[in-house]
Amino acid sequence: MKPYNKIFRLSLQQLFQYRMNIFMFIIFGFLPLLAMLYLWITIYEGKDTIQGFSLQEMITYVLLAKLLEVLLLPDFHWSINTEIRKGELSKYLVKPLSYSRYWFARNLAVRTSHFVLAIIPIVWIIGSMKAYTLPIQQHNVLLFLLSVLGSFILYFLMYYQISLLTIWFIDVSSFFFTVDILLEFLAGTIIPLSLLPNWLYEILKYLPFSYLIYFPTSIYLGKFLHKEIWWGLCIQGTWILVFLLTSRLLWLWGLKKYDSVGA
Amino acid sequence: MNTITVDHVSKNYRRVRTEEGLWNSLKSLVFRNFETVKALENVSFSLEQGEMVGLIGPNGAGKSTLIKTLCGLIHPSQGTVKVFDFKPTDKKNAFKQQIGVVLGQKNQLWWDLSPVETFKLHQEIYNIPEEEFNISFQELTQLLRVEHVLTTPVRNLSLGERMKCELIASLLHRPKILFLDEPTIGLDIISQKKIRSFLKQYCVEKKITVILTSHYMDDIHYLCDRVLIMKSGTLFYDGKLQSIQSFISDYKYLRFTFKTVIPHTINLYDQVEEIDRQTLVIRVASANAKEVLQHITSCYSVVDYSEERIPVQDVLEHIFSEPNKVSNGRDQHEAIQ
Ligand SMILES: Nc1ncnc2c1ncn2[C@@H]1O[C@H](COP(=O)(O)OP(=O)(O)OP(=O)(O)O)[C@@H](O)[C@H]1O
Ligand SMILES: [Mg+2]
Repeated sequence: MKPYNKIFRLSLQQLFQYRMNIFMFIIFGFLPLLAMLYLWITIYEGKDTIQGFSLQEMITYVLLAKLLEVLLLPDFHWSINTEIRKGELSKYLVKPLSYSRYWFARNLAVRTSHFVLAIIPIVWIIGSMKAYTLPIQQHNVLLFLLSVLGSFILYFLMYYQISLLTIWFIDVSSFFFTVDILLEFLAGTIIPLSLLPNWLYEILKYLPFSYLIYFPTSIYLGKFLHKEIWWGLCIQGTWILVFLLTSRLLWLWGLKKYDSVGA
Repeated sequence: MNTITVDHVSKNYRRVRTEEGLWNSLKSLVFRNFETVKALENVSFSLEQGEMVGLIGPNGAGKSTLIKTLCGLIHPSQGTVKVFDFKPTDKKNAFKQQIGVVLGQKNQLWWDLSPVETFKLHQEIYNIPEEEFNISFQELTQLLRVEHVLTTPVRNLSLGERMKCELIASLLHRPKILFLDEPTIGLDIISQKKIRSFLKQYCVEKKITVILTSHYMDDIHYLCDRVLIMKSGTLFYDGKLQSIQSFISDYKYLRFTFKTVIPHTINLYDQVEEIDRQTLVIRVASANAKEVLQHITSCYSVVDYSEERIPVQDVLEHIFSEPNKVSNGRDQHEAIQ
């Protein structure tokens, strides 16, 4: 694990040079959120609950979902895309180094830097929305953190596999955009998935997407019984195992196809 | 035992043919036209430990493809490659520990950080013991004279400085084989010379097998006892650089210096290689050399004349530009010996 530890630290060092950039990125990432919050407050006028969500719960949901997204959603697929297209993948392949672990370490560094730089805006938002937000119940804290960890790994594996598709389809940028948008919706970042029609919600429960954002956020809000949480964690874990396997296969298959372009 | 054995290796790339025009690009959404590029065709050779071999040939000859096949980056379509006891495409870590790769047009150093950081990362990746790392590091940085740039971000280095650091990064783990694809590309003459003499000194001393491609003949001349000449994917020649002169030994150069300006009436025979106010170099078939010589010296007032073997550079030019007659490099090579 030592080289990956070093890669993590080097990445942080590198990211730190662009701290202003990242900071602005996070600030602007939060801007649409203000519009969303305002929208919900208007929708709730004259109503106490919508589909079992009080206004406070809804605001907490939207805030926390966005926050988790800022902290967990990877963006390395663009870099991998470039590396494969330009044949730069070659420089990793000739070293005794695992490409997936390399990117895991880098992703962890990026997420960490976002976390550090997001603290100030987060504290500010939470402070100013204090009247609308709810705390987590103590007995859910550990389970919540566990589900966030699962989500982090799941996000990584999903985006890692999507990135590898570049080996087959060189021009995947429009596909990447579609995936980003689709995932944001299916993960429950925009609205709680339980607001969707019941049949869709029942299906989504067994797909990996809802375990990215909706699941941890609902645990935080205490929407699930303990039994349901454990069941959810099992599904999340199963998807992680499945994706570990499929990404390994995809990698081995892709290497046969990889052309190592250039010069 | 051979360090590298390449046995009847071919590599076909399949690439999409894009045709012009809107209709054709719409059509290509459904029917994709593939064309096959034969980048390597039936290439065979073997190398022993400590050899320094130059891989030369015109653009598109398949040099980079061959290097990529040897490092296991791409799978040969046919034939086998063996490096030590490994099949490179198995990508075993034990294999990767023993090779160093510099692709002149790619960058392995971390762009925003200083070269030292990459070196230290390599120490972790290759699991180099601290003491060994320090010795190699000292030695390499001193030989290449890059001590002063070690803590500068890579993005602020000159191309030459960066290339020297690339070399260090590829040598720290003491590989047994070094693959260099155009390591001197774009460098000025002084940097080229420095890298050249460094490679000679270091790799000979450490008995590192080196496979080098370069379009600068000086690199090849200085470093390589043996050259592999590639031409349209085939191995056209495998042997000493000097001996390729015998390749077109049926030709030679005749150089004349005339007393006055060269008369227009002169019959230029086969081919003019060089012409000046008073000097003329022509290429003639060896068989005719005597006759031509006699003719010119008797008809014109010649101050001086000499016969020359065709220089290596010109032989190569000749080989590169001639349409490909030989389909099997190995047979050709055996025929020469
Ligand atoms: N990824 C690829 N897909 C399709 N064709 C390729 C690919 N890479 C190389 N080729 C083709 O294979 C042939 C050999 O290319 P290669 O890069 O090995 O040449 P080279 O000898 O290194 O040339 P240069 O001196 O210009 O670097 C060329 O005709 C090239 O167009
Ligand atoms: Mg090349």
